[in-house]
Order: sequence, then C-alpha cells, then structure tokens
Amino acid sequence: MARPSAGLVGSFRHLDSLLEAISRLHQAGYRDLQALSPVPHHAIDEALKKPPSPVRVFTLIGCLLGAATGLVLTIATSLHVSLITGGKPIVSIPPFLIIVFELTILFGGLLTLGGMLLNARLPLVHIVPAYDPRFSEDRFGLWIRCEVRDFDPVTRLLESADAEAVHRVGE
Amino acid sequence: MPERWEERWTLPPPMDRGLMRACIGLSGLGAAILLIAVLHDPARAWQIYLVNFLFWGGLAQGAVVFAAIYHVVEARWGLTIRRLAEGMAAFLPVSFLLFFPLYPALDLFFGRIQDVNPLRGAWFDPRFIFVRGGLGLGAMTVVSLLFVYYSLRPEVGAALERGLRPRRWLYGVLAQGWQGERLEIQRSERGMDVLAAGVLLAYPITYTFMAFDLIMALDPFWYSSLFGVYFFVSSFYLGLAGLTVVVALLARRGLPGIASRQLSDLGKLVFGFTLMYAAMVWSQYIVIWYGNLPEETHFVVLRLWEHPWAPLSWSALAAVVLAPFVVFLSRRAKENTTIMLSIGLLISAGLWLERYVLVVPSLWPGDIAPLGWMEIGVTAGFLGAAGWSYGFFFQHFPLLPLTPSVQAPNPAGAHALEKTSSSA
Repeated sequence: MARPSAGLVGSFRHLDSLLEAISRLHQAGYRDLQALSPVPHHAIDEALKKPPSPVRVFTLIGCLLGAATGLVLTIATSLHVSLITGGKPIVSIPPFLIIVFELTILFGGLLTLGGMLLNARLPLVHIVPAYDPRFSEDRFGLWIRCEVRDFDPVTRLLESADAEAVHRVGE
Repeated sequence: MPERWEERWTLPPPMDRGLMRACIGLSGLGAAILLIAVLHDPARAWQIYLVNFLFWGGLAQGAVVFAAIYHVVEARWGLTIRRLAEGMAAFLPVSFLLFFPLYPALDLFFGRIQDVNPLRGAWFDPRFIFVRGGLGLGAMTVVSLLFVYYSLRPEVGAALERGLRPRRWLYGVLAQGWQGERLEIQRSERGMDVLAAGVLLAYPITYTFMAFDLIMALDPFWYSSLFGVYFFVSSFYLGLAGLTVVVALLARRGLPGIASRQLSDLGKLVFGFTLMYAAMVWSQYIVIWYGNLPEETHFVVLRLWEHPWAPLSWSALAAVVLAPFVVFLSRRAKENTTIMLSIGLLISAGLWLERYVLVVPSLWPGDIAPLGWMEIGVTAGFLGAAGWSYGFFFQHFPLLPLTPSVQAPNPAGAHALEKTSSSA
C-alpha cells in the first residue's frame, strides 16, 4: 500500500500529552507517526515503538573492516620490509594490536557517522511540511500520515490527548 | 512529602535477620580457620589473608568511589544505586581493622625479600610499610565515612524529627546538633561536595601505595610505575561488579528506583570499565614486552606461561574481560537481572583470582597452587564480614535516598522535560 502523502499535525504543550496521543493513536491502529521535539527524549522513542536503529549494523561492519585493515596493514608492511627490530619476530602481534584497535575504532566511528547521516536522511534539503518553528522552541509536534477519510477520527484522538492545535498538511 | 519520607524508611532491609546471622557465623568460622591456618602454615595463611584483604577492601572502596563520582558529576540516573554503593562504606572500618593483623605477615613476607635483594633499602622495611599503609588506609576510611555521613545525616535527622525512628545511639551521633531540615540539607550538600572530591583525590594515592607496597614489592626485583593505576582502576571495576550483583539481586525483588533503564546504564558503565581494565592490562603488558628486560618479564612469564599459575591467570582474564565484553554488547543482556547478576559474580570471581595470581606466585614456592580448606575458609570469613557489615548498614538506613535537590529518578522522565519546556 502506498504511503499517504497527506496527514495531520498535532501540536502539544507538554511531553505527557504527546506521549498520550502516540499511545492512543497506536491503540487505534495508526502506526505512521513522526514526532517533532525541541529536545531528544528516550520516552518519545519508546512510545513510538520504532524498531532498533540500523546504524549499529554500520558500526559493526566498520569495526570489522577496521580490524581487518589494521591486521593486513601491519602484517603486510612488516613482511614487505622484513626488518628485525629488538630481536622480535617480523610478525609480532602485541604491537600490531594497537594499530588494529585504533583502526577498529576509527572505521567504526566513521561508518557510524555515515550510517547515521544516511538513515536520518541528512543533510536535510527539504524541511518536512509538518515542521513548525515552535517545534524547535517550546512545543512538541506529532505528524500522522493518514488518508483523508481518517482526518476526523484522528483529530478527535489528538484533541482528546490535549492537543493545543491540529492542522492538515500535504494535501 | 512526609509520606515519601515514611515510605523510604519503612522499606524492608535487603538482608533479613537469618541471613545476617549466617554472615556473622561465616565470619566467625573464617576467623577460627585463619587461626588454625596460622598455627599450621603461617606463610600460606597470611598470603590468602592478604589476597582477601585486597579483594574485599577494594570492592567496598571502589563502590564508595563510585558514589563520590556520582555526586561530583551531579548524576541523576540511578539514585538508589548510589545509596547501595554508599552502603558498602560499612565494610571500610572493618577492613581498616583487618589491616592490623597483617603486621606479622609483612614481617614474614619482607624479611625474606630483604635477604634476596638487600638493595631494596629502608623504604620496604615491613614496619615502615605497615605504618604508612595504616595511615593511608585510616585517612581513606575516615574521608569515605565522612562522605557517607553527610549523605545520611539529613535523612536521619528528619526521620528523628518526624518520629519515624527511635533515638538510638547511632542516630543520635549522626544527627548531633541538628539545626532543622532546610539548613542541614544545604550543609550536607556542601560537605558532600568537599568530601567527594577528597575521596577522589585520596583514592588513587592510597591505592597506588597499596599496590606498590602490598603486591608489587612482594616480588624482590619486579617494579612497574603503572601498577598503581592498574590496581586502583581494577579496584574501581571490582566495586562496580559488586554493585552490579547487589543491584541485580534487589531489582529481582522489585526495589523501587531500579528499572531496566538503570540496569542498562549500570551495564554500560561496567562495559566501559571492562575496556578500561583491558587497556590497563595491555598498557602494562606491551611496555614489558617491548623492553624485554628480565627483571620485568619474569613477573609476566611466571603468571601467564608457567605452571601452575597460567590456567588461573587466563581464567581470570576470560572472566574479567572476555565474558563481560561479549555479553554486554547486547542491550537486552544489560536489562536482564539474571545476566547482570551472573556477569557481576563472574567479574568478581575473576578479580578475586586476579588478586590471587598477583600475590601468591611471588610468595609460594610450591609446584601446586595452594587452593584448599585454608583458602576457602579465610575467603568465607571475609565474605561473612562484608555481608554483615552491609546488612547492618541497611538495617539502620533507608534504601532510597531523598533530598529536595536530588529527586528520585522518574521512570518516564516526563515531568522534568515538561518543566523545562514550559519555562522556555
């Protein structure tokens, strides 16, 4: 089913009201919700019941890639130069592990950043139509994508959760 | 507000009287076994006594350091956990008293070392080690207890004022010169600010000396300037592991203020210190490996590659670093009380083994690691003493702390933000 392009935006004065609205909408079967908040808050994540972030997969891949790169880099360069230092074997794992560790963290960090930007669709060229400058100041917003026929019941649900205002977007 | 105070003072203590009696019995049994062991084989008895002294003292002090850090950084994520950490201060005076029987042991350990390496000089004279150790440990104990005193005083005073508790000697001492709730809370906050900083300054210094004097110096030739840092980091990690055990046990009994988020946060902290501990081990190892100097490498080779210590050392590393690292990668594992309890116990057992392989190989000449009735008995005695002192604390003080400026954690965190957003 295609994602509805239209929707409603509820504006809330308090976080509790926003959480209540999310809970009521979930109970009524509306799942396509997006919260707009002046500050990040775990309670919103938990209320929206979003699946775990896929960014962690990017981190894992980055870490494994970094560790492999570190091992290959240190072993290959040592074998290439073949210079005995301090009577130690050419391939000496203890000092190599420092490079392996650093590259694990570096690649893991870079891919986490990349994964985060990719999944959050940043940098944001187009601001979502539901955005209101007040959602960066002192109000919480809740954007519900739904069919036009659902506008009335959703509006009632939002108002019952103490929404300050409800308006339509994207029609 | 009064009903909240009452609610906090009427929570049942975590240890019932039966368990307390069992702990007292265990400590008595441990003392008796120590006495027999000292008469039977003093060298073996005192080395396991030292292992346990370092382990249990480090556990209690590490937890109090956690409480001090929690206060200094003005943390809010787990107030109940802070109180559970403060409770471990009850073992510190016991631990301080348990330092004194070490005097004959130090004579036994260091007399031999001075024969092997006379260049050590007066710094490692057993009497000098005993005096500076006693002074340092005494100062550390006093500063830690004063920190906890300031945390408890407003609550005790307010409870006496409201008639929630009878005026027994302990409460009378703690609330002496009570000047009213508001003033006392402010005074205690200031006192805690200073003393938390004091704990955090005294801890690395005292524990560096302890590491040098009571572990490093047991080997006649080995020295490592990083060993002090390694030891106080590992003791702090041990404090966190002990705290994890207590928190997981109480979370299973539904103690308020410990939800899955607090468990998860504590798990993250333990995970972080798993890495920190591994970094400390590695920093020691890599420098010794590079230098390849016989007086440094023999300490590591003896423990990691030679019989009978190698299996013990590798088991300790697996329990302290490998297992918690792998398990705590998962978020769900950190929210599960059974897993938290298991990992907390595993890290604690691993660190006990680590203390054992740090101390015993320097002193024990035999081909078989001494692990028998003496070791079990003395360890049980220390466990009993730690248990009853912890139980004593929570029989007298509330499990949930409360001061107006430090509110109990709000599971949804909703009101705090609501306040912020409406005032913006």
